Amino acid sequence: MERRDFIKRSVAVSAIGLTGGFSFISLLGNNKTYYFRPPGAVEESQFLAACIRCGKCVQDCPYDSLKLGSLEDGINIGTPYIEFRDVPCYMCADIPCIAACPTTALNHDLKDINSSNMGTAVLTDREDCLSLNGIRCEICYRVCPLTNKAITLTKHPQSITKKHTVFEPVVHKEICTGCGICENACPLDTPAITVLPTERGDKAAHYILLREQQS
Amino acid sequence: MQLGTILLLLSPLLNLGIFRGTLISGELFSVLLVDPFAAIDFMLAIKEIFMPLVLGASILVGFYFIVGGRVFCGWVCPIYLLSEFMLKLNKKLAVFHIKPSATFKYYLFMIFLLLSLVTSKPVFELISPIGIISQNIALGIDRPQAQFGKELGSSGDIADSGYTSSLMTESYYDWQILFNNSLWLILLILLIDVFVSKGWWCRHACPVGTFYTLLGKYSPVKIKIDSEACTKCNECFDVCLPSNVLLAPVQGKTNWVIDSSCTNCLNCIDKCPENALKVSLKIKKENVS
Amino acid sequence: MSTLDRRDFIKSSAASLAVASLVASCGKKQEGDSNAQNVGGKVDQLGIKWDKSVCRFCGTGCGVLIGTKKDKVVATKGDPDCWSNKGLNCVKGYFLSKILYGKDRLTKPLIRKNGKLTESTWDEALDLIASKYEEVLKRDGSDGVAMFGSGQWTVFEGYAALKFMKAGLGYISKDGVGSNNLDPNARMCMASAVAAFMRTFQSDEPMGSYEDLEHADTFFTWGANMAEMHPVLFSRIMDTKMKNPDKVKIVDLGTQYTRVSEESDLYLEFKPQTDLAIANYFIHYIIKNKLYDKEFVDDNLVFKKGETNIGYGLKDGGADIPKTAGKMTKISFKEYKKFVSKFDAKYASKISGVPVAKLEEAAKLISDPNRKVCSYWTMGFNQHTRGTWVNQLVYSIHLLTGKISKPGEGPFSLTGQPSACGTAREVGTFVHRLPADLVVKVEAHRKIAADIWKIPVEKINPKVGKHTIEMFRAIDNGKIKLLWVQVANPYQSLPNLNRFTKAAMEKDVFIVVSDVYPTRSTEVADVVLPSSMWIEKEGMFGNAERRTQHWDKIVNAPGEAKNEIWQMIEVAKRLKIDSKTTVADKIFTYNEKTFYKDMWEEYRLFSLGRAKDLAPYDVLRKEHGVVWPYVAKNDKTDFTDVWDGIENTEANDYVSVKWRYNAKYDPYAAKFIKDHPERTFKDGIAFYKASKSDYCATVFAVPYEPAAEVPDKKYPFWLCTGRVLEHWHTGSMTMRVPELRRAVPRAVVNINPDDAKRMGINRGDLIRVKSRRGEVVFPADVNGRSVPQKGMVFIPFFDETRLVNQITLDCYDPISKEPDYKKCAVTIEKV
Repeated sequence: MERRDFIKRSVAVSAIGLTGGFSFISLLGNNKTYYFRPPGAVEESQFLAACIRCGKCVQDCPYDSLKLGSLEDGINIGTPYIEFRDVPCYMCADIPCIAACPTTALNHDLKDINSSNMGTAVLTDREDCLSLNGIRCEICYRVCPLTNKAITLTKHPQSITKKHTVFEPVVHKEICTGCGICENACPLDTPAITVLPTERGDKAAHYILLREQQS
Repeated sequence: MQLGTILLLLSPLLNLGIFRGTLISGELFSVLLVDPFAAIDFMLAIKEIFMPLVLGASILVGFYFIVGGRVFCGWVCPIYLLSEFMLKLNKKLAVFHIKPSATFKYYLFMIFLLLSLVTSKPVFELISPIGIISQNIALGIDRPQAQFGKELGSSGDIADSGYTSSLMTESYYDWQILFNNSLWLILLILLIDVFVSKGWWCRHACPVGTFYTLLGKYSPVKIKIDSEACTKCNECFDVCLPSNVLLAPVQGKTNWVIDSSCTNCLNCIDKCPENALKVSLKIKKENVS
Repeated sequence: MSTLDRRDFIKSSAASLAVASLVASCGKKQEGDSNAQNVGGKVDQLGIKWDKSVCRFCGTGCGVLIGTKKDKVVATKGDPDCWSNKGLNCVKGYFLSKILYGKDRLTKPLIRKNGKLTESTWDEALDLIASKYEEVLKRDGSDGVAMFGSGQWTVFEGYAALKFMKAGLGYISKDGVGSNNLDPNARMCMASAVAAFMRTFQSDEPMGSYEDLEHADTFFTWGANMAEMHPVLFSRIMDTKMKNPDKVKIVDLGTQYTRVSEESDLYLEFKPQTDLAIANYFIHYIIKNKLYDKEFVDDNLVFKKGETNIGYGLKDGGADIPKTAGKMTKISFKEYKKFVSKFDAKYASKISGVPVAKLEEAAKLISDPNRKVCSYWTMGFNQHTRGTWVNQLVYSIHLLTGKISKPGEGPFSLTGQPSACGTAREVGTFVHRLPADLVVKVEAHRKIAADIWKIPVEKINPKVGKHTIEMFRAIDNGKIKLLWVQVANPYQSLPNLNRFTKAAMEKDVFIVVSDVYPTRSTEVADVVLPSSMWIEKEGMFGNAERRTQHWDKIVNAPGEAKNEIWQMIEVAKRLKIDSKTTVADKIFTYNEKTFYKDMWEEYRLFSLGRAKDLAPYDVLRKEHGVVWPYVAKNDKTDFTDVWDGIENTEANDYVSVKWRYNAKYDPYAAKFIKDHPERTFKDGIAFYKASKSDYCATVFAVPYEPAAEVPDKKYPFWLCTGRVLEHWHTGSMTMRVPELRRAVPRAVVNINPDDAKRMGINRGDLIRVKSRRGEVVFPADVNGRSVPQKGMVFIPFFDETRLVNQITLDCYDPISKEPDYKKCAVTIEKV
């Protein structure tokens, strides 16, 4: 009888211990730096406050672009986020994710998907980018839903052949919505163009650049 | 009972247009419904009032006020259903018998609300097993949806050659199961249910249940006991998750299950060999004798 | 797939790259340099064997070097020694090696049994095919069989197929002659350019070379999205522009705003089919403003008028085409002037919808005597019910202004397939042709072929066979009972596909498909033969600038996959003439050890002395591509001006002619001028091949005629089809490269933003595109890479899961017989 009791106890304790342990390890298991939110998401700390983790936006995303945070996402558990490399935001004109949101986590005033701002694409790996090596790739440029606006091509001479052009994809921060289609489409194993948060190296207001004077 | 909820959560897969969303927030026939506790949590976190949300929550508040607050637990919440199963296991496997005090749940309720207020996060929604389970049901099975062209297959005549190109047969996105690992939390709750503390979550912890307990105090739909028919066999206790609610009536102190922890799950009515229990409307106040 | 460590790879390439860049930057290249490295399978320190080859995709002909280890391609790199690309590739070329390793490569012969394709053995499959050939040829004669080939055939394969069909089958068929029902998919690609070259210069293929890209200062792209379809060449145009941004102009004429339009200085968006009116207006402008080169006109040109109202080939057998459709009547320059006088700016503007000012600006540029003008086009001109006309009109512009056959000046038809020139055009795998521009109709030509092939001339059928569209219509009409498809995917790429697919499935026709992957064509096949592809066999391709590039067999084919030549020989071996001899004994008599060399040297005999001289096998094997005519240099030839130096010279005796008809570069022209002292030749240009018109090139007079199917109330939109950069043709190769498939996973319908707005269509909406022939659903793209004009939609055809060709129209140019994929009427609606 005592022996049976002992077994019962150990089973109980180890089951609960293991489950608790798994949960705890999961909590530690993520090293994502950024969470990219659906279009129209308010500022991140506001978003974490306003999102009631209902998952409706995730359900209503027609492309399964939105994923739901789980234990390993810590504070982001239950919140929607996008992994561009997996499925980018395909920028539905009717923005179903915003329509689905019962709270103010997604800005219900955003009507034009093209003015959303999920982040900004950045040509992060200039050394491996095929286009910068003279290969006629520029897939990011052509798949961009704001073709020739968010990403434009700057031409340089190809220094080795001296006969060809290097078409450099240049992202324009103020137009890029951070939909991530470019990051998704980049043919390299690790994309050379990635979406980063828009707020990065923001220029102070006390100086007007020459470029800005002209435009 | 809760199977209905699960079907409702799964209904978007069939594109019936009845229900979308989860138990935290969903749309039934395009009417937005929001879990009132989540709504309170949210407003404490962002410290402002968002009308659509209040509206969505009010509908549920009104509904549960009438039918009995914890009807949500007994009839809607899938966690409650699981907990009920655990009751049976607990009977055989219980190792510890911890029973929190009756007021514990009210403290916890306050703590959660205060935490939301202070941290500016809807804290309970982070770990809400109701949210986790309903999200996993609603989103866990992914239908190949209108992907940017993935579902279309082809048009026109296709010869059934028995040897088709991989491009034709291979689909990027197939039916897939996408349960996430938040489900560990639910397992944890259930294991504690089984081994440590009978029905601890639903009885003593869940702040949503607590909210509905408070809400259901004056609800007119109650269970009435025919004390003459009752043989005090106590079988009803076995199937009652918030079991103490039956204590007073069975002991004959009152004819009504007046404790608002009662979920109106009606398990006791089914179980009672004497048919001593039934649902009635309690309009007039009745004194405890 | 690579076991090669990246760092090692960079290290190993560094040395060779350094040499390569040195060579490339030296400008002038001397003898011996060309095989400085990487030729003949040299092994580097990592144990990777490097061999030269050429890109499997478009007609640009980019050289690539293939690195193999343990019979597997582990790396590729652009070939710095190939003059066509100088070591660069587009992103398709970057993933070239992956096309070999798609997971559903066909490795076993498949035979349809009880409606399903089932794996079988080579013997069973070949016996079955041979018995079918015998049955059909003995019963229906040479008309009962057909072969549909490809501009992706290697030269060897095309040549073997030509011999097999046009000579070999003559030994078996009831009527004792071979079958001319041999057409390549190049019919759907550049037949119009071929017809126009023949009718204008009486010699096929462009006169210039890619070096024009650096020499020219004014580029006209006529309905050609070079930025996407010939990316590496466009990169050179942009470089030329960058070096002289003020002078160099790019003028894009098209029906939709493409990535070329984006880079252009002037974009003329015209209504589909009205390029005829615009070209005529340019001629009008040139003549009205006396900008034509009078001397050149007197010396070198003859004027001819074409028949009008020539039909559209909509009825089976071309019943709606007048017999005289291709007739040209000689007229005087005066008559010609009168003819074009009605095509003034107002008229052209009214028809084309292009503002007068823009038309004038373009006309000014194209006729400016101080500008070096090059015209480039591909399918916009060729896939056109008046494709031959419009091709000829552009030649006429260049001829009148004398801007032809000079560095940086000339009309240049680009090709879409790697060997559209090398195989389809030079070998002549068309229904009417023999190698080197010879035709089956002319007895003398048949004689030449019979002599080279050592067969009786009677075996060659003088009757022109059924060209592509009629071939597949004949299957529907029960006339053709046996079809062998090689290296092509017609059941995705034919227009009005529903009819032809249905016929293939329902009619009594035995279809053999040789391919490397399951395609829409293998789906309807009765026998599928697994083929080796590209570097799994020795081969040669000929690109758009007449460059022939050779590669050795570098890796083995997977499973039981076999070369198409082997397949044809095996069938020929099973076709018994009598108890002792087979067809193979008559036509494939090459020594096994020197098979390819023997075959090449035999084929080369056709080209020699016809100003189409191909280089010898050994030279081709060594060099990284050789441009023909590859001829002995004579005294009058001067190379000092040749911008890129002298190519492929052996002790400076031989030269690749880069600008044909120009005595400065072309010994044939030099000799011709020397032999005709009675005539003058402005700029030393002599059209020495035009023997039928007194050695004058033809300037052509034809009016504007509408398209075969014009949008109306019920079908208000034009439909244009085409390609995208990431995928090539029917996508059977590129769609199996995971990276390219991820980048562009499906075809979309590009819609003009105004139309989309009016109809409430957004990007990603599913759109049903419907024509009189069927309907297909595509997701919409608005304001994407291609923006069609108002009232037009554009759909690429690479996506085998939704076939745009189910709705296209099977009309064709009555002269070139090339179908028009660019114009038919459709309606669109949101699903």
